[in-house]
Amino acid sequence: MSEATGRVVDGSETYKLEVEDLEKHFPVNSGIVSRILRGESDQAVRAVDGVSLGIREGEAFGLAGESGCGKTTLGKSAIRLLEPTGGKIYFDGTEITNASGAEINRFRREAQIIHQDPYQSLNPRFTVYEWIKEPLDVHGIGTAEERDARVYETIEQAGLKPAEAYAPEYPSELSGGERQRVGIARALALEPSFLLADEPASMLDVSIRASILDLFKRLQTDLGLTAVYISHDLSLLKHMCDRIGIMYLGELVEVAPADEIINDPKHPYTQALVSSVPRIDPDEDRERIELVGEVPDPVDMPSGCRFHPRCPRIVQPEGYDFDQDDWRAVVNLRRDVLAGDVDPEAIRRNRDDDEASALAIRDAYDVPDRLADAAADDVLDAALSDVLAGDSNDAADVLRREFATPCESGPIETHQVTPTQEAACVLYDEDEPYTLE
Amino acid sequence: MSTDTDTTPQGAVTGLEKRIEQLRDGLGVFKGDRLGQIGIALVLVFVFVGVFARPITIEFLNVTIPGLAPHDPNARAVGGRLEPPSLAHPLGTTQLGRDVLSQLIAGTRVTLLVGSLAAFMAVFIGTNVGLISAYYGGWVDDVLMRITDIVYAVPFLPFAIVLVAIVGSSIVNIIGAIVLILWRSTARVIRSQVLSHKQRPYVESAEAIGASDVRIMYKHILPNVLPLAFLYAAFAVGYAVIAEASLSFLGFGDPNMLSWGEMIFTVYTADAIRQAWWWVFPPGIAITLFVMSVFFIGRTLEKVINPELRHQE
Amino acid sequence: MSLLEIRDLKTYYRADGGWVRATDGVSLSIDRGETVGLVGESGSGKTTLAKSIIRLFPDNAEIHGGSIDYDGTEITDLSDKELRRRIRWQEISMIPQNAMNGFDPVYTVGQQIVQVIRHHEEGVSKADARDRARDLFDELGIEPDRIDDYPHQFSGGMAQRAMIALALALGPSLVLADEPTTALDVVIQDRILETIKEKQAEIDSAMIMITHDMSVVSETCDRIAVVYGGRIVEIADARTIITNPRHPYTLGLRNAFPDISDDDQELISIPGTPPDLVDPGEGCRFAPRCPFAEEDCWEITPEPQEYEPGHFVECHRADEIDYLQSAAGEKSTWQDATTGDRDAVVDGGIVDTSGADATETEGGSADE
Repeated sequence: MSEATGRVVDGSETYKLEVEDLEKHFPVNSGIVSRILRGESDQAVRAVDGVSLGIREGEAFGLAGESGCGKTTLGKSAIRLLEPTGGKIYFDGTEITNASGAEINRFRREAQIIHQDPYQSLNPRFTVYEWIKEPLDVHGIGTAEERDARVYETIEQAGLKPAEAYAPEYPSELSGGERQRVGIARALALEPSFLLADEPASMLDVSIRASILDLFKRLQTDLGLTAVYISHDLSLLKHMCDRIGIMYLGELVEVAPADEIINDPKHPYTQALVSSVPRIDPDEDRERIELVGEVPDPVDMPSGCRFHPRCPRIVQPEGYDFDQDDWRAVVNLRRDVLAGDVDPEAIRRNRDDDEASALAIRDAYDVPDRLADAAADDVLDAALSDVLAGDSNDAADVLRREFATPCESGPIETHQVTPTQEAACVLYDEDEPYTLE
Repeated sequence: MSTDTDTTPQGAVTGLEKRIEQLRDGLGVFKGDRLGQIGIALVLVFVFVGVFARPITIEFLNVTIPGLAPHDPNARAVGGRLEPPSLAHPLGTTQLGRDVLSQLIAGTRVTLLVGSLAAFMAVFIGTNVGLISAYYGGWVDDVLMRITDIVYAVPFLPFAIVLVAIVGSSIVNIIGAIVLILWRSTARVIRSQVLSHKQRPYVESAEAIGASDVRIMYKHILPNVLPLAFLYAAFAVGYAVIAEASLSFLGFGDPNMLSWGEMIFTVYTADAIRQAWWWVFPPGIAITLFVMSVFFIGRTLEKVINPELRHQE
Repeated sequence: MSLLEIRDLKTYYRADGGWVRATDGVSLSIDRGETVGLVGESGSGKTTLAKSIIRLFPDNAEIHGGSIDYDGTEITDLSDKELRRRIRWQEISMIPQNAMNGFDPVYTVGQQIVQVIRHHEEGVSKADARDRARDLFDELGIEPDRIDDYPHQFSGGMAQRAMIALALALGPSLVLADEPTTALDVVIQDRILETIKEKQAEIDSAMIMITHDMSVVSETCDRIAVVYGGRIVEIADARTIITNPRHPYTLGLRNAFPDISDDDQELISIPGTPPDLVDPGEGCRFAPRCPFAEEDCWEITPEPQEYEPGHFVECHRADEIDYLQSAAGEKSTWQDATTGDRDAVVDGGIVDTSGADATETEGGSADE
């Protein structure tokens, strides 16, 4: 890893690119019908929902997360390829959130993007030469001869030699790796200082992936570029980046130096994510962390910590003492009771029982027949009796009150866990330490 | 592959060669496609006949290229009335003793003119509407597409008849009427194509370098949807010819311009359809042949746009 | 006696320039209950090899030679109809890469599973088949009630699981898994692989796992076959392939694959592109990209040699294992392999993409 990792953040540090509370919501309905009936539905997909992040000069920053977590939207909003719906963006200390005209033009020269799919990201009607020259034409840089020379120079910079052989080719005549290099050359033509690479190697074959990644590394060193790499591949990001940020459902849950976040993740989601990556070494036994359910719908977000409905380390309610696995099971049951989704009759039918029973419900949710904590068991038992009696509301009230967890309420603060590692999780709230067995 | 390190902007030069090569590849689809070849041959014949139908005088050279038509198509009584085909009049004569062959040849020009002009204008408008509508989206798209919907709801013949009745039946007005209706299908199809292209990363790449909307629309997206526009232009020529013929047949043609549709109209009004087959069939067959050959070409062009069709034979 | 015995299999695609030898003389045997991984780049022929077994390839493909013995039956002798009736799905089933394409969008997932069960097993009532489909869903961790959903109502991970349910519905003895998790996120991938392993153990079926992901094969497979240029260039138990490979291509693949547990790994790519399989000619197919290629490598096609029991390698220099392994770990080795300017051939120079790549895609097996 490069030296940049060791640098400690201090308050006065200026960032290359900084976003503050960045927000990008996509309206669910944008057709004319909904516009006529405006007000009926103002639902939005909260793809990026209040992300604050600073990218340091010269660093390689990785953005990771599952598909749909908003990492690409965050990247594109940060360089104004998508218009953010809230928050602020600073580039080199200057706010560019609402920049337009000459100002945005200047920014466009500085920040460039490399796309994932080398087969779709080049215009099939442009030759390599025309494609790389276009940014120079758009910004009216230099004389015709200077532009021409610059085109050949960047083609070679991107590792395509001899440049003269590649210049007249159409994308259809190039291999995937070559196309990706052409994309990189175009991004370099304007001598930018910032690159956003969106899954730059995921469509390429393993055998040539490394050479493209090498090219990025070399460009960063040689040209002093700052780069953000977006990828779902943690191994790749660990290899490429100084720091990594993990996103979940539109929020940044953890940011830390690459080695630390992979070897010692702090946020329960990061822990689960890292634990799911298969290992090559046959002697390495990884501990798999199983997550409940699937990623929820980004329209209907969970309250509090967005990961809490699936979190294996969800914080226990005050005054009770659960086995953590049992507590997770109880939370699942509680969630369905609160939503009015527990149907004892359906559970009975599925199990082919004669009669609906509290034990059957417990069993359906993997809750043990008796909880270790007698007080907790009493509460649960009372609630389940209510459910069987058809008083779902009473059951919901009891469970909501008694088994409240700090994970489900309020905004979740980001805590500095180690000098270099920060995570948005109440487990690291030093004022209210939550013990965990 | 050339490896010399000359510093001239050869990228641009060889780019042109490449482009020609691409064009040749594109035309390559006609190779081995009999129907496409027949289509091209027929259209070329029609164009030749259309251009040289009447004598062309080049003033400053003081030359006159003789026309293909053996007689003045409008001259009366070059032969007898309703004469069946003979050596003097291979396609017989009309009720007023005009030469049918000459009329047919002269009509080619009008038909070609109406067909190509109307098709070109309709596709030009349709392509631009589709491009702008899809690229800008939002209210622009709403407005343009609702207009397109309205045009879709307009039946061609009644519309054209009313229009021509109001503004007069001149060739310009007829072309206008055809264009006003014909652009709608191109607009729709181009719009859906542009919508798909707009999503592709190369468009975002153009945005990222700060390219203007006009540049993105016309330099990036248009070249990618142009083949489709050509295809629609080919079909539009066919439709325009049929539309003109229909209008003329119904008596709303330009009385001063002799077209194939107009010829059939005259047969009809002369009440000679039953007896003068030599007068009815030639324009009818000409219309069918021309439209057919244009569609053959279109069918072949479709393979350029949709290479999957090439494998389906 | 092994379950499946492939001998000298040749599957070619008809292309403009002649025959593309996507699988060119492959021998492989699979025991009952065993999992064999096929790894390689796109265009290496790994998918064609697997699909040849149940002849699930496009019209322009043809088996040109060799034999496939499945449990005493010579599959290559069966007519398409017999193969469909007797082998495909009830004996050998397939989990495709993209489950969404595997389902027919106009029927519910349940209807499709019921149809498969009733098509292959006579006398099963609709209700019984439905019950079995529900049970399968339950075992694979999908709500049984969701069998009445249409494929588009499923998330990617769930559709993949439903596809596994469909592939396992008839208790096949061999499952071909074609990149079953490539399109999925790691969390779901992990769960699906776990599910596949559990179910596979339960019905005691063998499996061929096709993937380009070294870590996936390392975790899920008993044996690994490395496929290059239409041939198996190295095959051994998983541990040996990962920790003690002998073929330079396998060494190269290991170098190129990022390892999450390695803190200072240097990724090294393999220069060049996969060979043109239309006319591969004599000699080792990896020679043009191999830093260790000698004169013989260009002229004599290497035959598989057994180095340790069950460890076969097709390489003239495989006995120089210590030298190969140490030299292959150096970046300079691979860079020097290409004379002069390395960048010119980093990604293979300008290539004719109409060759092997194109055919592989037509074969419906985009590997990535």
